[in-house]
Amino acid sequence: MKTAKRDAINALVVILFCGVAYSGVLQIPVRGAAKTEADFFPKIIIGLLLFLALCLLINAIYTMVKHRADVREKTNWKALIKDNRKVMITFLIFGAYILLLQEVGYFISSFVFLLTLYLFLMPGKKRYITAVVGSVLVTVVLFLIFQYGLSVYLPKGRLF
Amino acid sequence: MENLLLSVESILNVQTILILLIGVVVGIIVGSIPGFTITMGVALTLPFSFSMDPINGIALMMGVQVGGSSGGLITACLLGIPGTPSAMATTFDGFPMVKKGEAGKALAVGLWSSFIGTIISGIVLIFMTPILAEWALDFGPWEMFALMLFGISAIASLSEGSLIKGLIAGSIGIAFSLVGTDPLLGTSRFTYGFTELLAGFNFLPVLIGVFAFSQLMSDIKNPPDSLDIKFNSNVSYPLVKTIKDIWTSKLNVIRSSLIGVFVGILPAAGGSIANILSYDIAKKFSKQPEKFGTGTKDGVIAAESANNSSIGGAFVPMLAFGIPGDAVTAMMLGALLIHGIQPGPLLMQNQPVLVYGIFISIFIAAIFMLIVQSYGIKAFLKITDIPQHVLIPLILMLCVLGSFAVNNRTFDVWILLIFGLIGYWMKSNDFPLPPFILGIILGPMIEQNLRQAITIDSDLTVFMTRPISAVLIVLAVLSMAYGIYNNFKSKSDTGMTQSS
Repeated sequence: MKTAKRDAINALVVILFCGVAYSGVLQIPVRGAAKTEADFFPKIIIGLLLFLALCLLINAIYTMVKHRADVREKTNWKALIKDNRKVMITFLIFGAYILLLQEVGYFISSFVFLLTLYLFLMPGKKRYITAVVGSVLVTVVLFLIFQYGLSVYLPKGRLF
Repeated sequence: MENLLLSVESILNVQTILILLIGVVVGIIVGSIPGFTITMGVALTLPFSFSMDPINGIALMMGVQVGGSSGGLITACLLGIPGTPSAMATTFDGFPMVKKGEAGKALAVGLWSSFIGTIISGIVLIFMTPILAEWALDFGPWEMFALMLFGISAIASLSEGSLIKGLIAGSIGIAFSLVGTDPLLGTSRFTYGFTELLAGFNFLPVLIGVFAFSQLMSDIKNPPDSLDIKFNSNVSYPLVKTIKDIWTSKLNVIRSSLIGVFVGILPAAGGSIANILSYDIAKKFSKQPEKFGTGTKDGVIAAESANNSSIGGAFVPMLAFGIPGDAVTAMMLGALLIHGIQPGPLLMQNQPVLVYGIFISIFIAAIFMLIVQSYGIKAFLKITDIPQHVLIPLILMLCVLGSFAVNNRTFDVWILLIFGLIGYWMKSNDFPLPPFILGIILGPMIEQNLRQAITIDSDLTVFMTRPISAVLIVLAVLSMAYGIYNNFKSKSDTGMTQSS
C-alpha cells in the first residue's frame, strides 16, 4: 500500500515535470520553414510522458481505493526523514563543496570536504589524526594525478 | 586482414596493455565489493578515458567490465553475497562449495569458466558484428528509428520493476536529451538562459551522477554487508585439477557461454539474466539436477561462463547498430560519442582499426583477468575489506574531478549533483536506471531519424510498409506486451503468496 501511495506521489512529480517542460516547449521559436519544427519531437515526448504518468497515477489510485482501509495509514514523515538523514546531509555537504570549490579553489575545499564526509560517515569513535592525514594525502595525490597525469587544471578559486 | 594487423599494432603497446591491466584490476576490486556495481566502476573510469585516445579509453573500460564480471565471483563464493548482480546464481553453488571446504576449487573453476566465456563471446563478436553491420548499412531513417524504439522498449519491459516505470524512465531520459540545440534546425531548446546548456547536457557528469553518485547515496543509506569471511578458506587449487574439472564439464561451459552471448545480444538483458538463465538450463540438462544448490562445480561453471560471455554479446548491437546491449555498453557508447565517434553500421567502414582494437582488447583483458585473479586473490580480499566511510568520500572526489575535467568548469559538477539526485530519486522509487540512460544517449538519434523520415515522406504508414521497420516495430510492441504480461503475472503471483 505504501508503494501505491509512493507511486501516486511519483506520478504527480512526473506530471509537474511535464508542466515545466511544456512551458519550455512554448518558448521554442517556430519558423514554419520545415516539415518538422524544433518543437515537434519535444511535444511527442512530453505527451507520451504525461500519458505514462497518468497511467501510473490511475494505477496507484485504483490500488489505494481497492485497499481503502490501509490508505488511512498516515505517512510517517519523521521516520522517512530519519531514514534519509545521512543521504540528505551528504547531498548538502556535497553542494557546499561545489560552492567552496568555486570560491576558495581545489585544495582547501577538497580537504574540508573529505575530512567532513569522512568524519560524518565514520561509525563509532572518531579518529581525527587518521582523518586529517588521509584527507591531505588524497587531496594531494588526486591533484598530482589530474594536474600532471591527465593535464586537467583544477579550480584555483580566489585563494590558491 | 590489414586492419586487423593495424589494430594489433595499436593495442600491443606498453601504454595500452598497462591501461588494460589497470582496468582489469579496478574491475575485479569493484566487482568484488558488495554494493558496488560494474556499471558504477565503468562510470568512474569515464573521466580518465576522456583524456586518452579512443582505443585506450575503451580498453580501460573493457578491462573494468571483464574484471568486474569475474570479480563478483570472489564474494559470491566466499561470502554468499554476489559482488555484482551478475554473480547472483554463482552464490547458489559457490557458497555451499566453500562451506564444504572447496573454496579453492569453486574460485578456480569459476575463474576459468569466466575466462572461457569471455573468449567464446569475443569470437562470436568478431564474426557477427561485421555481418550485422553490413546488413544495417541498407537501413534508412525508418529502420533506424524502429530499431532504437525496439531497443528502448525492450530495455523498459525487461528491466526490473514495472513496465510503466521503465517507460517513464526512458521518456525522462529522452526529455533531458532534448536540452540544447535542435539537431536539424539549430534552434535552442530548454536552455532557460544558460549558455552552458546550448550544447546539451554532457554525457559524462550525467552518467556518473545517475549511476555512480546515486549508488553511493544508496550505499550510505543501506550500508552493504562488510566482508567478514567466515570460513578460514584455502583459496588455492592446482591448475591441472582445474583444467580437468573444466574438461569434464566442457558441454556445460560451451552451452552456458553461448546462452550468455545470446542474452547479451538482446537489447535488454545483461549478465544478471544470463547468469540465472544458464544456471537454470544447466540444471535441467544435468544428469544430477538434485546436486544443484548443494555445492556442485557445474552450477558455478554455468553461472560464471554465462555472465562473462554476455559482455561480447552486448557489444554486437552496440558496434553493429549503435544500440547498447546493456547499461555498461551504453556508457561505452557515450564515451565514444564524447570522442566524436558515432557507433553504428558505418563505424566498421570508417574506423575498422578501432573496432578490431575493441575486439582484441576483450581477449587481452580476459588473459589479464585470469592471471591477476589467480595470483592476486588474497590481496583483493584485503582491498575489498576497506570500510565504506573511507571509500565513499574518495569515490565522490573522483566523481567531482571527472565531471570537472570535461570542460574545466564547475557547472558540470552541479550537473553531476542534479543527476545524482535524479538517479537517487529513481533508484529509491524503483524506476530502472538503464532505460533512463539509454533515453539520454539514444534520444538525439531517435529524433533525428524520425524527423528525417518525415521530411523525406510525411506518410507515417511507410514505417509499416518497409519490411524491416515493420518487423522491428512489431517486436517493440511484442516486447511491451511481454512486459505487461510479466508485470501482471508477478502481481498475481505476489497476490497468491500473500493470500496463502
